[in-house]
Amino acid sequence: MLARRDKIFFGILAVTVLGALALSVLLGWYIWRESVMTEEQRLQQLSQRLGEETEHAIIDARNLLETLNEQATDPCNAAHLAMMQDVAVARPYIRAIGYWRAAERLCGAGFIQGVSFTPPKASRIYDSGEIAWWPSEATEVGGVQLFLMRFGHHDVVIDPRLLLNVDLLEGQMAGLWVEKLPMITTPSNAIFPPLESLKQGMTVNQSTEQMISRFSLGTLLPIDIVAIQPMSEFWKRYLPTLITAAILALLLIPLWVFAVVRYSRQHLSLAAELRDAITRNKLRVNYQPIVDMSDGRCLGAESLARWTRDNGEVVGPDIFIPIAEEAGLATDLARAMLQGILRELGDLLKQCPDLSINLNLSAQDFQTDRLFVHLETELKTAGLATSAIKLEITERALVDSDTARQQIRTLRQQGHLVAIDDFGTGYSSLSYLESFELDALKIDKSFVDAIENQAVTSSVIVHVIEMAKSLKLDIIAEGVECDHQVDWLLSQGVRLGQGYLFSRPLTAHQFIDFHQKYS
Amino acid sequence: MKKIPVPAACPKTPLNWLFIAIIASASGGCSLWDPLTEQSEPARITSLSAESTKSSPAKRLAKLSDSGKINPLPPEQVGYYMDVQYANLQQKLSRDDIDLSLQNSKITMIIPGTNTFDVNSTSVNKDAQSALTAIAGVLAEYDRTIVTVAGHTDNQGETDYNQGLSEQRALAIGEYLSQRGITPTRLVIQCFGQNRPIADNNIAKGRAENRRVELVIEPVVARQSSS
Repeated sequence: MLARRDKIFFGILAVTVLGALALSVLLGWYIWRESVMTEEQRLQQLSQRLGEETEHAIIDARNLLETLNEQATDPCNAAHLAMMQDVAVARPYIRAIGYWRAAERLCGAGFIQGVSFTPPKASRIYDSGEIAWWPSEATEVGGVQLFLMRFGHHDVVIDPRLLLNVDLLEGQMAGLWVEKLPMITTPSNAIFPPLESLKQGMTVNQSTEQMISRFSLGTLLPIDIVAIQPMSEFWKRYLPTLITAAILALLLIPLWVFAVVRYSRQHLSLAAELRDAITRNKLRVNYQPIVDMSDGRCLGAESLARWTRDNGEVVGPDIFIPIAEEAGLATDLARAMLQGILRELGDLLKQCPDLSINLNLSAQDFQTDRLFVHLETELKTAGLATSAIKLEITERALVDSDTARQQIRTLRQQGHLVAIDDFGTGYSSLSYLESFELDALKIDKSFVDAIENQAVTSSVIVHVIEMAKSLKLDIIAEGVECDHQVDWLLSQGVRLGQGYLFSRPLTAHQFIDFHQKYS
Repeated sequence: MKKIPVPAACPKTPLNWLFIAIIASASGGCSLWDPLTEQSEPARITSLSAESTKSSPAKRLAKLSDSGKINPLPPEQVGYYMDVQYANLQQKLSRDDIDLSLQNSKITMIIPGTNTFDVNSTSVNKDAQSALTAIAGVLAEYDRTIVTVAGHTDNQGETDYNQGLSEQRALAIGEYLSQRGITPTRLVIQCFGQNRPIADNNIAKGRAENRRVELVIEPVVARQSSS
């Protein structure tokens, strides 16, 4: 008993802890995912914006060069110089514009005057004649490596720092690649992993505790934006969310513990009370008469357990039977029922040997032969034939078939009749049932309910009846409530029935009267 | 006029066409002379001939960088100069059948014979003239280079005839460029006949590719001073 209690206690403890843990993990995972997704979305939008700005700047510079080429009819005159100055000043990222003949800068405008960049190797030469030099030492002025583009006679010098808007990035490490070539990084000395090694989207590098994101634009020029931030930055950004989550968890976990404790206490106390009721014989037995529907004679009854708690509350069998099974009390319950039947109806059964009372068995009863030993000795003590007690077994109890099959055979050899209860609600097949030695089959109430009138009938019940007939089983219809059901059942050759049409469940005294009236 | 075989006049080793022309006219025996006298201005050829030398491109380059006739490029500017020139050619060339490439500071242009010359003709047609005008414009701006014009043919017909045809076609293009302001000092004419195919002569497409004039643009680089 103590061992069982301990088992239950540890079981509840495990459920509580695991539940709380699962809750925390689930909540943590959800918050993490949400935060990562939000961060990814934020960076994607930012990258998209930066990429578009960069692309726009480059396309704009290219178009600018084309316009200047077309309009420089008299190069390096005042109008040409003024025009170059105007377009340069209008764009913050343009540092200088130059007019060239071959490799000689003839004139120009902008902030860096008199510097002619002639880098030894072009980064890209396009089919349409644009030529570009990505930032390198050859284009460095004042420690800043500049981006250079030439088309025809004009060139433009772009400061790539102004393409990567640092304010938007809030101090993150970021890099801009155009045509897979590095354009600018911030801070300028930042070291990035090779672009090809980075996956699209956001990845978390656990070993370096960094979040690395790479987003690519490919509308006109392939542009890649890479941002790297330490995890601590990420946590800092999502601290409010995390605090909210922690508070939520702190609220939910006690709630969960409370729910588990409340449920288990109720359940445990009910089980304890049931055990007490069984040992103190406080369960009552009711009898649902079984009649021959052709002449109304009472042939027996199904015994039903009834439990009224000390506070007067009636607990239905649908609640306390599962509790009894769970607490390992099913056999004790069946034994108490048997004792009740023999105490209340022992004399009647002795007087009428044809009468029999059905006792419901559960799967647990087949796990040991405890109940069957009791059954044998108590019937002997009462001086009754074994046929006085019929055994009802549910389909579910038959599932563990090998031991059950053996025990059913033994019980039948001893003279008990065995009926299968609630037939049709489980998963029995004809061949399966055939492997058991049985005497009777009880058709479940749900099939009987389906008998609307004599004309319209459920096809299932017809099959069930045919099956029972082919197995040479007696048939008992459960839950008969109307005359037309009786008519139909009789027409199908089903003689035995029980239900409210004949009688409600009765107390022992009422049953004795009922039997006297209909025998 | 007597027709004599070409080889003596245009051997495999590159020779300046004008030099050959003068020799040929003096000896009165070069087949080359005919188309030129018929289709070019003799006065022009005379003026070009004064500038011509007998050298290969390499010798010519070495000589030019010291001569003062062409302002040589400082070595550190060569990359930029050729890159920009190449981009400029890309921009100006509207004909996409001209294969343009830049390698080791050398620009190579392969002008297919088809669409440039009519069959067996040695005169540049209208379509090719506009492309050559564009090329001449860029060459005039980027004047610190020499331009080798090399003629090639497929292997159909007589070897000698092909040799002559390649020479005449190279000459025609060289002539056209000089008319568009490229000083003859910068021009080297070569003819290879059928000797240097770039594609399979057994198929029509390959033969078409082999009938071509190649233009190679090389920078004139200042000799590195010892300082």
